[in-house]
Amino acid sequence: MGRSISLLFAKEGAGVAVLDLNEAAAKMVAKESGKDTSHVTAVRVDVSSSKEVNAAVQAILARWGRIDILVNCAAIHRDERFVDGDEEMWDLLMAVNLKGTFLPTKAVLPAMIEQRYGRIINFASASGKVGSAREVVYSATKGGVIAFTKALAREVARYGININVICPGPIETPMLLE
Amino acid sequence: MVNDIDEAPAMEAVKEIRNSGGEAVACVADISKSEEARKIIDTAVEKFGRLDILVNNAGITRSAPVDTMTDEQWDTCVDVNLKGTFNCIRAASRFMMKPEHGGRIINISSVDALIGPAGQLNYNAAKAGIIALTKTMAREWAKYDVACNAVALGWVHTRMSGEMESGEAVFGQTMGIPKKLRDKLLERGGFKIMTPEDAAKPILFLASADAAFITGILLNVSGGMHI
Repeated sequence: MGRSISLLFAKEGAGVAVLDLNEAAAKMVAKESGKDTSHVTAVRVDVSSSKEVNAAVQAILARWGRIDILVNCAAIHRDERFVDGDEEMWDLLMAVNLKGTFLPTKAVLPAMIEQRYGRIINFASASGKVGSAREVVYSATKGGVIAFTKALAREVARYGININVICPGPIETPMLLE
Repeated sequence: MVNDIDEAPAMEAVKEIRNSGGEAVACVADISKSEEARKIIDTAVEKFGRLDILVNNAGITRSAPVDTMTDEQWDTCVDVNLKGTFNCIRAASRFMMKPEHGGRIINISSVDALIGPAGQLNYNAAKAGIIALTKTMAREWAKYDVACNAVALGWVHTRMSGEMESGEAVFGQTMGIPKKLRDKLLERGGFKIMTPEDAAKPILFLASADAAFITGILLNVSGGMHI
């Protein structure tokens, strides 16, 4: 999904920074966009690391002077019964799906507040609304993204920042195919 | 195809569309009457040969606290908002259910259906009914490639949201919000007031090819009036 979104935004003329844990994949997307590095750049980032996220955002601001749009679409998924899962799995899902939405948002907000403009689009899931069996922890992380989005919308609307969340159904991506 | 209960606004919209190079035709009709809803759909198909998009936008208020609300106030409000939507969709089924036809239906609901502000039981109930109607339509007509979605609008600058004291009489009653209540709402703030054009853009998106995989949803377009 990050690939499709990045390519579409690049096609529409946006300056795009593709952030991915998989640096090679991010670079491939940047190349696929057909745009030069002044328009599309690839950065290796673990969204669950505040150090990496903050460094990436600072680098983007140094390069372009502003950040108008943030799309938080990095996520991981586990298909298993809740009773078979463990604390390590819970922590990992929370770190990537929920904290990995929280950290980039926190990092870009000061710039957006100063700009008095911003658009943040988060990705949750239909599971976050209805709660899917075998995706209990995943559902919890995505439910968290929904509540986070609503609460933050109330806080930052006054700065001209809109924040919304999209809840997709099944999308054909590497996450689904695994 | 532009429908209104009054001729003047319908003709004005048609004129504006034609002036900007588009094609349009007007049909003055009362959607709360099933035979008039049929006439609207038939006029569109007669003129354009098909019916791709239906936007059920006509709405009306008849506000009163529940203890004094009359049968007429309940019936008129529910008939225009909810039955009118049903009437137009049923009339459209003769065309939209044809094989290889497809289409889009966008119904106009309101954040009032979610908030439930006092003093307009009939309007809130009708607009909430539209939400369930929309989901049902999405399921019933998915097989005909017809996507059906609803938009929950907030405050839009129209005849319905102006000051009642200087309002227009439409459908037998002056439209608008009493000044005292209106001023109170504006003072409380916390949301953006939209122009009809602001409201139209997300509706246009839902009618577009870009929204091909969106059906059965309620899109909140209220500038933060309800989150």
